[in-house]
Amino acid sequence: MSVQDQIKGFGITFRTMLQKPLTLGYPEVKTPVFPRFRGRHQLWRYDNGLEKCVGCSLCVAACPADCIRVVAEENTQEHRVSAGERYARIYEINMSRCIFCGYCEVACPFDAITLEHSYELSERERDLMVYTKDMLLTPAPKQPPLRTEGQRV
Amino acid sequence: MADYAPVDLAADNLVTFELNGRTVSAPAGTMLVDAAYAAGVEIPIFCYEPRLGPPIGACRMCLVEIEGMRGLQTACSTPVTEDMVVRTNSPMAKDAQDGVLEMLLAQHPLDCPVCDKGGECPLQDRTFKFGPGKSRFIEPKRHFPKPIELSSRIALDRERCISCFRCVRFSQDVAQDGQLTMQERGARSEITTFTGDAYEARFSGNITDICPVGALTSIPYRFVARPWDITNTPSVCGSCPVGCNTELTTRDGELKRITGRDTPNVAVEEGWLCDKGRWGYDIAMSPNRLSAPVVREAVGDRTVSIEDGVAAAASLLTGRRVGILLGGAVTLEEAGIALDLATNGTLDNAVVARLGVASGNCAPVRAATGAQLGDIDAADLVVIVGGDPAAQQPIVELRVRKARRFGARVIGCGARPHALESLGDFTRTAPGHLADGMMGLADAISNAARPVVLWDEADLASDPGAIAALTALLAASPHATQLMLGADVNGVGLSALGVSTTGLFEAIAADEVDAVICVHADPLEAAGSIAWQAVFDGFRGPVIAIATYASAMTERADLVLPALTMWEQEGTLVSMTHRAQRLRPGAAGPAQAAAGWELLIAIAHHLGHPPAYRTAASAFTHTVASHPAFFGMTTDLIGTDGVVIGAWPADDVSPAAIVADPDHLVLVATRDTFGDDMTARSHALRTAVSAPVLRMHPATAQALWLNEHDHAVLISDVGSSSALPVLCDARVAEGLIVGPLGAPGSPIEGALSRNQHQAIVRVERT
Amino acid sequence: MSTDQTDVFALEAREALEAARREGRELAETERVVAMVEARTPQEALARTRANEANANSAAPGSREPMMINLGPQHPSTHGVLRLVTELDGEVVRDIHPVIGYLHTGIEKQCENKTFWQAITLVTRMDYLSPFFNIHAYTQSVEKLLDLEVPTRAQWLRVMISELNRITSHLVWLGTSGLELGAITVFFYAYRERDRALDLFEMISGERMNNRYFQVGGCADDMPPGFEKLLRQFVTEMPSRIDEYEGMLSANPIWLERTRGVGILPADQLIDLGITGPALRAAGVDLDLRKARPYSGYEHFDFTVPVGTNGDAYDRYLIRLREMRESVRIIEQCLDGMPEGPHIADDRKVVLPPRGELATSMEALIHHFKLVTEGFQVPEGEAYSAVECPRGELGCYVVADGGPKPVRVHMRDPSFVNLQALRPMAKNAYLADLIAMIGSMDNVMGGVDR
Repeated sequence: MSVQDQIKGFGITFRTMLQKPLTLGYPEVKTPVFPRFRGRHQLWRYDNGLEKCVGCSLCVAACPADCIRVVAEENTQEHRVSAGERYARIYEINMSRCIFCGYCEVACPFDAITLEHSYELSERERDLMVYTKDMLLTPAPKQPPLRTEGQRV
Repeated sequence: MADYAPVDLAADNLVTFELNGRTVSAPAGTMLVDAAYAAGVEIPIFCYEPRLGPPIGACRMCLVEIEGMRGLQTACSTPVTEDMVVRTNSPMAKDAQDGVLEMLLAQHPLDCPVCDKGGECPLQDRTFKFGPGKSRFIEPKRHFPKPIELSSRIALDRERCISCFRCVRFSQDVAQDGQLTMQERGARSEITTFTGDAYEARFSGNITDICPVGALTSIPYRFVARPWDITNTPSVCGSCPVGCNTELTTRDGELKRITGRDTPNVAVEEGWLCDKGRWGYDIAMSPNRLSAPVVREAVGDRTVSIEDGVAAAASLLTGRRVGILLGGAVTLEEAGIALDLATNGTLDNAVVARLGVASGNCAPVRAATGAQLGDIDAADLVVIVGGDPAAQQPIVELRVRKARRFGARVIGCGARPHALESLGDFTRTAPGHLADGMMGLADAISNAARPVVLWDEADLASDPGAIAALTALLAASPHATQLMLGADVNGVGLSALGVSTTGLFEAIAADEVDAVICVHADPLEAAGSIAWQAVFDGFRGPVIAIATYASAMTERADLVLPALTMWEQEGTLVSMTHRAQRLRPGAAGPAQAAAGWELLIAIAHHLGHPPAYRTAASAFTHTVASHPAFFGMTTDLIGTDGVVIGAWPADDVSPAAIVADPDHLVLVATRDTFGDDMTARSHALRTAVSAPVLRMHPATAQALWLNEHDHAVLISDVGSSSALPVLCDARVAEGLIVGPLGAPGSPIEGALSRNQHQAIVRVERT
Repeated sequence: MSTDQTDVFALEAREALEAARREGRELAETERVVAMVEARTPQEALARTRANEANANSAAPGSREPMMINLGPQHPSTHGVLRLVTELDGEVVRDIHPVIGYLHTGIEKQCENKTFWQAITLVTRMDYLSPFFNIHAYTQSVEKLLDLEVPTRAQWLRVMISELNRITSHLVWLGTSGLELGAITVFFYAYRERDRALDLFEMISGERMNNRYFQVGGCADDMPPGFEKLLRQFVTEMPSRIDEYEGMLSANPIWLERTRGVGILPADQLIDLGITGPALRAAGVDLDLRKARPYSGYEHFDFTVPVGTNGDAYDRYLIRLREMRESVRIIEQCLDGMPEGPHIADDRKVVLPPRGELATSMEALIHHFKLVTEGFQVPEGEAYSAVECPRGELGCYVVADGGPKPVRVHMRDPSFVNLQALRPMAKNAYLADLIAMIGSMDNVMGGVDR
């Protein structure tokens, strides 16, 4: 190997040293996601505090992984939970089964469930992977940064 | 539900016509929708329902083009004729279908996500299959306050109604309760009762089945589950001897709903259910449901596990002479296992008997295969001898009304007044004199082409000469068929297995048994309860109760083993028309309970005699093998529709004859399906319960110095009843008192003799 | 390794066994254990061990049975979990027996229990390196059964995304193949570009893998704003990146030594075995479904199908690199000529109605409800439709009975078929070359087992 080859080789090395790294320092730095990214689910409320979900179970029917369970109940004058006649008394998603296909949000006629951007979904126990309605109504504590449209990392 | 009527393509009056360019044939007079459906062309419909009677063409969904006829025709009300040329898919017909759907949907609320019908809704199905995908209508829709309660069990959402009139036709024509009607016109039209009161009727639930939209929904099932959350199991109802075919809806191991089947059993219930069969299942969750075995000891009650309960049962039975008492609703499997244990050496020479009406003398009539309920449709004369089918075998009422609608004459005789008497000529006979009444019917029967005689098991059994008169009537008319209105749910099946109503009582009284097992049987609440009480008072041996609900016997028993209900267990029941049908589980039941057959098998294992069967199906096979009535029968043969069993030798006793005379009053017990203990405990049926009363003619009441609402006690020579209010009813024969059988607290059972529903009594005012 | 050396080893072994016999001791324990563990059944193992002993004792040359060893199922070079029961005679592979099924997911069977719409999410993850091709074949079959016209824009979107997927798939192959043959740098370079392409997938479909972007009737969504710009940047830079890979490998003596002349099978034998894709084209057969039976509007694009001459692993490498360049060209044409129009068909009986209509239109709500819960009805019949996936002909065979669920979904996956070529290729090759062969065939076990 000639000296020239060595110079050439180290040239690449030094040139690359000056470039910004392509990798991110996860977990200190969170990978940003695009707006369409499908992560953890969230259930939504109207501005007046009533839940958008009426417990119609269309998401259950649409789910190819059978990971959603909904038990509905009727709203009463004293106990009004949702805007419709019925509400979901139980709304559970088994996150360890979910394949994040987003069919539930496609199926939902009220935009009550959407897949948001949080992707840090590990738990220490399997049972904790079943997210209940209360958990899903609360936004994920850690939200990854959102990439603006057309932005390159 | 089955929306199209079956078409008999083998009939001899076939006509040939053209359908969408194909040549097809159907019997003359068949409605075009049915003929087309049989030929594989589905014409969409909403209002058409062959079970409701003649079509009315209300919804206009079935418009088709017929050559030579101006405009479009409703296929549901157009009979096929020779050489008719029909087009169901021409642009004009398609346009009309789109137009009708567009109009129906223009005013339909955007409720699918909250509507209980969503997913099993004919409006959705047909819009998806035939309708346009886009709407031009963007204006606001009409709004009504929603939902309102049509009754405590049916919710009415008026916005969703498409005015198909199915429910009105059911109420007016099928149940003929005459309550529902359509009020107002146009966009304001709504379903309501004439009076504006709640729709309280015994068959009201069927309108939720036939409603093609979500306008009428069941309140107990409100928002409980979606079609994709549930599993449906075909089963059979064990609330009365009719044996209606049902479908059990299960979600998460719990029974959530009972409906008629998608393909109704035309031979039995034709898809209609009474409200008790539909909504009475909630008693399985009622507080007095037994959920764990209880061992009763001197120091108090002790709840144990089911395994320990069975072990305790076995130790109580070891070395003892055992008697087994079966209830009237136990399955063939349970009875068969009990008989097997008595003969195979497990429980040596155990005495097996059943509770229920002794009707050994009815054997001559029962020996011949009788009619099925479906055969009533084609009858030109319906004869009702004794009984009260509307109260005791509810679905029979709909069949008789249907036959009447088709032009059949309805006649009969009997001691009790009943709801069907308004349909025709009925003669009132004094108890014990049915034979006289039947004499008067002989001419009509022999003149009829297809007469069907419905006769009441309990009434004829205790009436001297009635069976002979009935046999003579049937013999005189070669076309006549008969159908027994049975008294006990599985009375026919138990009788065919040779289980007698007698033997055990005498054995206990004679101190010939040392231990008694009651399987779904409570002698202390059955006819003759006073006598049973006396004999059990003197009985020192252990009593084991295999029961579902707490009752007098479970209080008395030394060991209570909780059993599963008819909605939770497997088994076979034989209906009053001799039709063997299978119960299939639609719910899991309490964890510490087991089916009666399972408990009996487990006890046998503990006794050191493992039987040759382990499952209900193998117990069935083992049971039927040794009984001639079930020769060659298999569970496959029974299938989902059931099969009629064969004849069996009569070996039951005959009851004492009860004959009224001017000096004595006769008590006739009627088990009002909606007045019994089960209905009283059901939350869903809380507004449907009929209160227990003693009905008698005003003259009888006057002679007894009784006013209406006075409380009276009936005293017979075997015991006395509890005090019940008196209700005067001029239709009741003089000298007769009609009392409620099986009412909460079993008030009149004490005055009756064992295994009999009639008694000679005297009355005391309280 | 020369033949002489093999003989030396055999001689040594014989001498060792001879010594063992002389000293009156048993065969080495390791030999016995290896035979017991590696052979297919214990009985067979025992028989082989006995035969070995007998043959060893007879000392006749070449009489020794080959050694059976397992390559995999957890071997880094198998792109999944492929087990090869390898019969080795020293370093020479006498025969191989591929054992598959370690990645069996039952997806084909599962599809029978899902609606046609739900099955889309399942088929994506069979050949997990080319999810878009899986759905493309599947949706095309369903569309064929439905006789459903896919809008031109949707077809072009599909082509664009498929070609991007071809690039990512080839990049994974390139990176891992390099890794297997000792060239680690190319792995980092390939994954650098792949990650940018996955970003683009995420941007348009919401997922980085197992995307359900293609729907029956078109695509789930149109391009988001900014997508075109990012994709254009990617394809503009990609050719220079491919130059980089070529600079690293094409003239690399180690790479040449390990891939040239390796895994050659005659073209007619490849055809007999049903081999498709780069493996076939490397042998000089010009078969590419995009040209042979154009689908999804491929006839409108100007591209060439690279064809090799030798049919060795090196040719396959060259073809894949050139295919990436062609894919870049196709994507550029897509971006330049993307037709206007809807991204999904307007058939309310199959395609979900627009979300905006759900709040006002009863027809739309009912159709939405029925499509979501029961799914669309597909007329009775069967259809086969194939696409040219990075590994060859990926066909999907769908049988429908008129209901909303498929009666049968079968995938003709090229990984499965191409795996057949491995045995004839590997016979009498060196063990080290076997790794290069497996790598160059690019079998994805998810597609093999399904």
